[in-house]
Amino acid sequence: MSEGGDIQERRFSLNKGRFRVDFWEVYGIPIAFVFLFILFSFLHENFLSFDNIMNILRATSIIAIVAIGTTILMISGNVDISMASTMAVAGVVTVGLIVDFNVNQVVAILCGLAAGCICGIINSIFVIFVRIPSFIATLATMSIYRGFCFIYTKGYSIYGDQITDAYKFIGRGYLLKVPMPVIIMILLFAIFIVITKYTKLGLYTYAIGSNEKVALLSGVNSNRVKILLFILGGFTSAVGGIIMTSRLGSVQGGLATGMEFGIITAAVLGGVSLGGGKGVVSRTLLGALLLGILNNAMVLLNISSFWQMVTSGGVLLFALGLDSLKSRKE
Amino acid sequence: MHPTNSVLDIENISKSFPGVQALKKVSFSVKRNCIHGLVGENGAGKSTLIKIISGVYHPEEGVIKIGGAPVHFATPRDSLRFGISTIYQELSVIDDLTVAQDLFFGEERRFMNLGFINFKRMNEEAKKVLRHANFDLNPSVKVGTLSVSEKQQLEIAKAISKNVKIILMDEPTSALSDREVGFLFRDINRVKQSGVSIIYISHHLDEIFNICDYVTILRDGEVVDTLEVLDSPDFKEEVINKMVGKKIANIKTNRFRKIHSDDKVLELFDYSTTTGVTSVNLYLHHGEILGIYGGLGSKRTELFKSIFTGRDRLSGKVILKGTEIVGYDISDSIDRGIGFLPEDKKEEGLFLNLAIIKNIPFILYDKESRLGFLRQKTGLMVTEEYRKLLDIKTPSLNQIVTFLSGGNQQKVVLAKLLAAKCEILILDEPLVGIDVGTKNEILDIINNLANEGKSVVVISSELPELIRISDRILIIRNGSIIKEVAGEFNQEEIISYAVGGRIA
Repeated sequence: MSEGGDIQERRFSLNKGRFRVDFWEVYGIPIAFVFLFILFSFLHENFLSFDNIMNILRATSIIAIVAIGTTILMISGNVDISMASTMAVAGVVTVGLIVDFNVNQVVAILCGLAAGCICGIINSIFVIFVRIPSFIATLATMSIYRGFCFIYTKGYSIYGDQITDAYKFIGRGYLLKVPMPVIIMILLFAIFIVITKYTKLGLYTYAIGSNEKVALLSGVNSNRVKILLFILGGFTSAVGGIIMTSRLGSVQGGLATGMEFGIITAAVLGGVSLGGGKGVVSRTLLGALLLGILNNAMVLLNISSFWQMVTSGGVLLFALGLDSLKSRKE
Repeated sequence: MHPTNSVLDIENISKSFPGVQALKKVSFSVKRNCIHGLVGENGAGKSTLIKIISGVYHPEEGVIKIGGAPVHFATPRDSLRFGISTIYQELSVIDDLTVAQDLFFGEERRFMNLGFINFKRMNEEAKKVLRHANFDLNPSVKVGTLSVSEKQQLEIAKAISKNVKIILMDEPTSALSDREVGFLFRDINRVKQSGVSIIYISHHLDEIFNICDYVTILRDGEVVDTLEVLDSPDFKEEVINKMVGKKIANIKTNRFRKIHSDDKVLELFDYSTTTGVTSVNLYLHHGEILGIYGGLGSKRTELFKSIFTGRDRLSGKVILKGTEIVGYDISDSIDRGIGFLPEDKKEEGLFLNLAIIKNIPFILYDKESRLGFLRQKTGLMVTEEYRKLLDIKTPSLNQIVTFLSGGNQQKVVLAKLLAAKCEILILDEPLVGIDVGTKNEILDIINNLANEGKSVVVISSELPELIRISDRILIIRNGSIIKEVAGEFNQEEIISYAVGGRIA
């Protein structure tokens, strides 16, 4: 972008009218984040320690990774709430292949990722071709995917010696003192920030969410884009699911049950609007971290996990309420 | 006029919107038992006036008198309370209700019995109302199963059942077949005999001449004249003259483009659509500006939208640069260099919550990308180029389009299409909502596009501008092209074809 520099400069000489942004939309979450961070570091002396921060990051990483897919889908005006079940499908396929069928671990992981993508394709078929609203369609597949996981595992955990330390390294290992899941998270965020900002797919994702009719009239094949987004959603869920099995060293049908909640909250905190067309992937990371420090602080402060549930629900209502009030104002 | 004889007096009504004076001291009276026509070109102020009479808008000055007494309408409900019912183009009947339920919608209390609605009694009452109005509708069938014309009867019956004195009808024939128009006229005349006055708004002058007793002509927000309708050709001429205004008899086009008559980039043969376009034949030359003129309901937008999207085609051939194209979609059209500027720019042309820099190069980016990555440098340069060219007033190219003024939004839509560098451009109402100064610039831009060898179709209701830039003008009415004019244009003649004062 070096040559573009002088054009960038000139841009500021346009000066007609006032550049308008919605203050709370842009700065609300960063301000809340900084505020909580400072607050908690005063409330508990261990909060700011390197180990605790790595703890927060690791605890956040799986939610954050899966929330990438949720974010891009929500930007396009769709939603996938089957992601926690998709995580379980990917986990069961991967560990099941390794333990029950003695498949090579790398091959098994690739199969797990593929299974996640297939879940995404199935979702997209019901949303795009059968025209069921995405929330309802994925509510149904959420139950179906989960059911198959229990059918295969018969309600038992799957584990065995075939799961080597190499496999467990994905979820438990460290690279230069940084936990592996955090490294994977940073890598995936980097990739998806580039996709949403600099590629045609990214532009079309925002365009479809902003106004699908306009996108169609501008020559966008919106179905193709939406299928791809559902596949990417399945993919990020699969990555999250596989990391989780690696940390546990096993898998069960109920893997990641209830996680959809934190994932959607992270995306909404990141600024996606239920109407679509809005949201930034990098801010979803911030949203996930905000949830992470909130939960971590409550653990450090010995607040019961039941209260954590109340708080998480409150945070989601708060974030959604802001979005809804804002759109009514418009 | 005779105030005692009039049911509705409009006196000195004015209304303005940001940037436009929509109505200037409009006055006229509607007499008892009369059908009163309201005519004017697009933008003459007809719809604003209807909305004021029906209580949707509030006038800045002036009074409305009913039976000689001044009234004030805060809401449409007030207008109904004073005996004025409005039947809009989009009928406000509910498909899922039965005819009787719709007829008495909001008045169910009349048929309540211990908290339950007595539907039998409602149906009987509905039968009475319908018989009184001479409509042959079954009260117990679902509204959704009725034809447009029957739904209209239902609306009329609803108005009559509420004892209204005045019924406003806005373009009632736009969705009717010729036969149904006949039925409607019969119904209107019956209603008139029962003591109700009707204000009838239509683009089709022949309809006005056919059923109206009086006609008020609006132009640029002012009443030009109110006349008693006479059955003579001279009278029609007079109305048309008054609609058009000062006689700009023959405007010469100021261009001397050389057009090779055998160099056709787009040809249509016998093109019909499911949306009402019938057997259209047309062609577009390389480097030509083809004007399309037609009123509401002329299906001009439907025709070109169908060509662009490849949808709704019933029969006929589309030949693009010598080869017939079939089974294509919008992205194929864009790939083949056809661009379309939609009429509803805000709903169909803009990504409101994206930045200018995402909107303007949007279509162009389809080509200007490598391995899926956008060439953002090109995008930035193109955006800046068109911001300057169209003088889009914005503090930054990163501004979200929602925050721009309406006029600037219009310019962004136009820029988005122009930036795509299409060979064939279809511009549907490119001048609507744009200030006078920029209008001339846009006309120059269109002119330059043609001089560069682009072929442009301009669909516009603004005839003087259309005459200024077009090489040929096609006049379209009721889904068919009824006349082609070229060279020297006569504004009056064009309008009279478009409104049906003259048969081709």
